Amino acid sequence: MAGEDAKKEGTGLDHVIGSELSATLLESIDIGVYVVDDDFNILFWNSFMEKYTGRSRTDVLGMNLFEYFSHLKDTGWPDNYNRVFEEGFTFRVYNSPAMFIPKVLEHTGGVFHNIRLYPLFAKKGEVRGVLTLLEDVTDRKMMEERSQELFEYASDAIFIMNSDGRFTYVNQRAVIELGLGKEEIIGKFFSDIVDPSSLDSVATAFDRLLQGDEVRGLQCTVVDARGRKVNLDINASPIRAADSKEITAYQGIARNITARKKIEDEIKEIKELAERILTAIPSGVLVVDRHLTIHSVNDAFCRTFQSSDKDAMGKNLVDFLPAGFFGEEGSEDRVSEVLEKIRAGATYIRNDVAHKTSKGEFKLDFEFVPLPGQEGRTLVIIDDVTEREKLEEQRREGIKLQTEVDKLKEVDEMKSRFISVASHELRTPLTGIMLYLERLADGKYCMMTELHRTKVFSVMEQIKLLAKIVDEMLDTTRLEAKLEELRLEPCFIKDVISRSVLKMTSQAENKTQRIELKVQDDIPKVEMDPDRVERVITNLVKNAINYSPENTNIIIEAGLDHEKANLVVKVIDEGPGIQDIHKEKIFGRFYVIDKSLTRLVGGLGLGLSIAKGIVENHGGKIWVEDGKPKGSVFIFTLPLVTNVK
Amino acid sequence: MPKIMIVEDAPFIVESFKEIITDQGWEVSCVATTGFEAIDLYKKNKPDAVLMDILLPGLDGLTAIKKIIEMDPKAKILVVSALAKKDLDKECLKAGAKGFIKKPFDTKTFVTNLKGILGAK
Repeated sequence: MAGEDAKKEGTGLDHVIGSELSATLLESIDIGVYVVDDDFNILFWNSFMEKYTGRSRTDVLGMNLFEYFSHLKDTGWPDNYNRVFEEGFTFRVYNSPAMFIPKVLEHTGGVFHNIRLYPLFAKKGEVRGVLTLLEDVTDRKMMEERSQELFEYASDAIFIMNSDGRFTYVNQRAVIELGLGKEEIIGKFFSDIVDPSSLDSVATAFDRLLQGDEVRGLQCTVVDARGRKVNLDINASPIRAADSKEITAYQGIARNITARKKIEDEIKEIKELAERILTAIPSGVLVVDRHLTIHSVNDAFCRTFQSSDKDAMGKNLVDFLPAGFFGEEGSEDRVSEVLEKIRAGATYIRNDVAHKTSKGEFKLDFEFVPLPGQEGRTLVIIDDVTEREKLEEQRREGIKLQTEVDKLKEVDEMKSRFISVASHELRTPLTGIMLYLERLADGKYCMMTELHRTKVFSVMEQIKLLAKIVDEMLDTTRLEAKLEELRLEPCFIKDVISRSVLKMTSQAENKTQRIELKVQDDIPKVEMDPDRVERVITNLVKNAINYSPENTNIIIEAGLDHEKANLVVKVIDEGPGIQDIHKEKIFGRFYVIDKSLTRLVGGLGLGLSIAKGIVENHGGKIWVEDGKPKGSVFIFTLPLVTNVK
Repeated sequence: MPKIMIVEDAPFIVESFKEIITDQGWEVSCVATTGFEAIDLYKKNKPDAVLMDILLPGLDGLTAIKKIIEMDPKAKILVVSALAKKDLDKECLKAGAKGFIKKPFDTKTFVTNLKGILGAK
């Protein structure tokens, strides 16, 4: 067919265009093909050209190209053709503005062609024609432009570096990520923006690129214009020259993973924290699947069940549980019933489950908590409540004891109040009795014989004793309730002792006893209530007189202790001494060792109790020791530095 | 002959006081059993001395002392009390009483103190 189209014979090009095969080929391709001879007469015009220009072969064949398409006359095309004819080389022009206006104009933004002019050589070797291939690249060009746009605003940074490692191209995303203008980045070395922490890994990656390898997943940190660190994940590869395969540049794509890395770090942190918590908490924590197969356990679980996490993994929880945990032993129904409930999302709780081990029996609390969206996985929390149960028991006991102590205190207070009221009420009638008895003895009411008088006097003695007891009772209650505050003043203990001795001398002389004083010279003045301390000494001396036989010595010693922190007063007698079992009790109220003896000397057993109260109110101590070789030594201390309670 | 007023709510005690006072050749001018009565009778009788109990029904003895001293700063009051309250003696003396004796006491103590009060200016 092509042969028929060639009207002009004798050009010697038959061998080129004559072949059936090439004709078919030329007709079917989407590229315009036409041939002109050295007079620019059109010799061939394929069907693409027909369609594209709307000019049929019959119209154009034999016509002069530049005459027929007169718009080409004033372009560079005649020259281009001439040069091909004259110099015999191939002429190529890409993305050229349209050579022919297409019949159907689809693009308002202009039409672009790739055009190639090939010289056609006659058998003699001279150029007698030019083959033109015309390709409409408008669509492709538009596409390229669009993809360029995609490139620019891709979600990843794209860059090209030359063989020196300098940036020659970066897309818009790179500009955004780095906060630097394109012109600022271009020409920079990659190492200029890398954070020092990533220099090593970047250098290693470059070595690989230099050797022609690709780099994938390089994680590095760069610093943006504002000095903030940006984490990048980079894939890069070398670009080689088409012909020489020599590496001419490098291209890369970088993703900002700062946010992702932050989240990853946080997740890592949370995971670590969770693991630390799981390790640290005393509760056993494990995850089981819907068949109760164990998937993870913590340390506390292993401790409680004397297992290791390796042993426990993959085993069934039922193997660890006490027999009959879910009901009767071997009753599968009960297990599945409970499991169904847990799978349905219900929390299952069992308290105080007895768990026997070689170390004894434990009490465990179980809680099964279904994990939503975890394919029936369940969190099991096991608390060892053995200690808690014990503590609870102790607490209950403690409350009971406290209640009893409170009751006792109440009774004690009531007793003190009673004594206080009773002693007040006793004083008035005692006064009356005393006065009437005196008058009776004086013979105011009747004649009194000497015998009458003696009897009345002995009644009066008993009344005086009664009055003394009332005073003592009141004193102890007042001391215990601390109703009476101490009237502190600095005193020499020697003066206080002397006053007491002065009062007691006649009593001692009645029993031919001697009171001897041994007071050290270096004792400073001590803060005390002198009347009350005198009372203490008097009570101790009185006891010594009462309980020691006749013709004995009573020694009162006063000095400082080793630390010079306390004043120490001792009352030493040569009496019968005090047995160990009584040594503490004698300082209690109403305590007497020998009742018959007490009756003899007259007293309620309150003297030492009062003394103890006074000494302790001063912040001191009182006790009794055995005398050497016999007798008793009553000792009390008073702090030199006042710390009165 | 000195006239003495007794302020005391226990008749048993009042009787014994009366006997002792009469024995001394003095006169019991009147007996009050409450604080209010004491103030009232003091106004009417102007006694030479007052024997004053502290625990009294109604108005207590201490307040009565204060009221009487208010009326008559020269009133001679001897407090006779069973109340063992701390510093009660000082309080009474501060209020204007001239003496204080604690129950129980014997006749000698009673007479000595009462003489002391009567002699005080």
